Amino acid sequence: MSEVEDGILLKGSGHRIHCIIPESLEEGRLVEAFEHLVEEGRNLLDGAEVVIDLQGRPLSIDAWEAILKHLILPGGMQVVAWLSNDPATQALLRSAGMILENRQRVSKPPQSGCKALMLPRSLRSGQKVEADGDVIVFGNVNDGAEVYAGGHICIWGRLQGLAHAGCTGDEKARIAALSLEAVQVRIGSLYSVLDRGGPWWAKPAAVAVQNGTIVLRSMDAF
Amino acid sequence: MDTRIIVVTSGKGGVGKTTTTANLAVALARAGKKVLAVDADIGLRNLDVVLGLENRIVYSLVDVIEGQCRLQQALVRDKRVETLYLLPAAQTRTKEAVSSEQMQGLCDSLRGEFDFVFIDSPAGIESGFRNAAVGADSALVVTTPEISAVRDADRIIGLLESMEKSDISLIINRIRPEMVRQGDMLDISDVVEILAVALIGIVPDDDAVVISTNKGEPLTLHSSSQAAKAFFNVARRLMGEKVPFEELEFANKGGFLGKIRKLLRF
Repeated sequence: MSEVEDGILLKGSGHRIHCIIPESLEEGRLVEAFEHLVEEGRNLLDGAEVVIDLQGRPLSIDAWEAILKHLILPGGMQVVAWLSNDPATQALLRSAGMILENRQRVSKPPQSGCKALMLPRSLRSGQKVEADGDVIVFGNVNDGAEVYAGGHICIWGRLQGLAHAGCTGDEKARIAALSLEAVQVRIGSLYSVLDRGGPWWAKPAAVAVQNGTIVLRSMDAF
Repeated sequence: MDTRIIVVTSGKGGVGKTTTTANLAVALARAGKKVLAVDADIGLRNLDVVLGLENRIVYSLVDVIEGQCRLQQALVRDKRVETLYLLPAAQTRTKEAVSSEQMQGLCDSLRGEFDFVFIDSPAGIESGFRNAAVGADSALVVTTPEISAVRDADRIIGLLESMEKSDISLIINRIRPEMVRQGDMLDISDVVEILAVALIGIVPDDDAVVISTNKGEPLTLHSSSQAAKAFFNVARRLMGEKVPFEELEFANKGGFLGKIRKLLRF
């Protein structure tokens, strides 16, 4: 993976290159960033099959024009698909006949036959657990700790850090915690931001995906 | 002489590591213990100023490690409390000037010479922290009741555990009982529950700390402020005494004024 200034990422993926244009990059700085990328990455991009990933950026016509004029044409690349998390942008690209790639394409079910990972202690800030199957934590997941599971995540304690269930793309995965105190939870390719002090805060809760959105449920519905 | 080497650390900067080191070192020295305070914050030394010994520094910790002087030559003896010594940091060098092995060697050479050795760790989780902790028997983790400081303390405790330092105690600094009561500050029990290590001290926020730092006179030298009392209590606990947490009651009930307020409901 190579990173150039302004945060645009070029990521190799099979025979193709993923060009990730971060949402955090202001629209006014796109042209400058593209010109820099084309200059620095000319050898890499010229003639390459490229997937352009817009992340959650709502694509304006100006930004689209900038991508065409300052990235695609001068870079000499062949754009094979587009990726976007923003429904309006997806609709716009579809209406223009662009090929939209589905992120779910790369998802794989949690590996069958693998046992749940049991963690008999709390996870402290900076500690990270990754597992292909389910993860059960008998303790707290503190602020700054991370749990990534291909399957479900069950936390028999406080969840203050990051839990990402179904991290390989399985949106049927769920998260349950005795006390939900996390500001963000992730399932599959979705994430949800929780308000401190909201009705679910510091209560037993389960997190699941319903109709493409992350929903919180009381623990007994899990 | 059985020496106890204690690293004072926090992860986050500005939570009161150096103030804690200075006050505990003075309190224990005043109790008759032979104490050494080591400033391991190479390049950003502060402990000398807080202890009021900055004008008497000749050699530093780095000089000792590099063999430029003997340990005894680098130690600064406090004239106010004669059993207190300082091993200052070098201001003109960086953390890379010493290695873990060298710090371990230094700690080993201090054994048998003092009752207590306090190592004031730099902020952060890099080599400076690791060098400060490597030769210690136990750790005092200082935090304030703020989410960011607690998160960093949690990170540091995890790193200490991975270094097989299992004797870890917690000092919660800058507690403001009024704010805790109003729910504007993290509760002590909350912090202790998250960090899951033994609590050894609760130090109230006290303006006297700023004054004492600027004067180079640690509070435990002669002040009777709330913070000084709290540091004396920590020192007694370090000497193995069972001292109840009066400060906790203070935080929950708000003392005499708090009781009147509660009665009058304002």
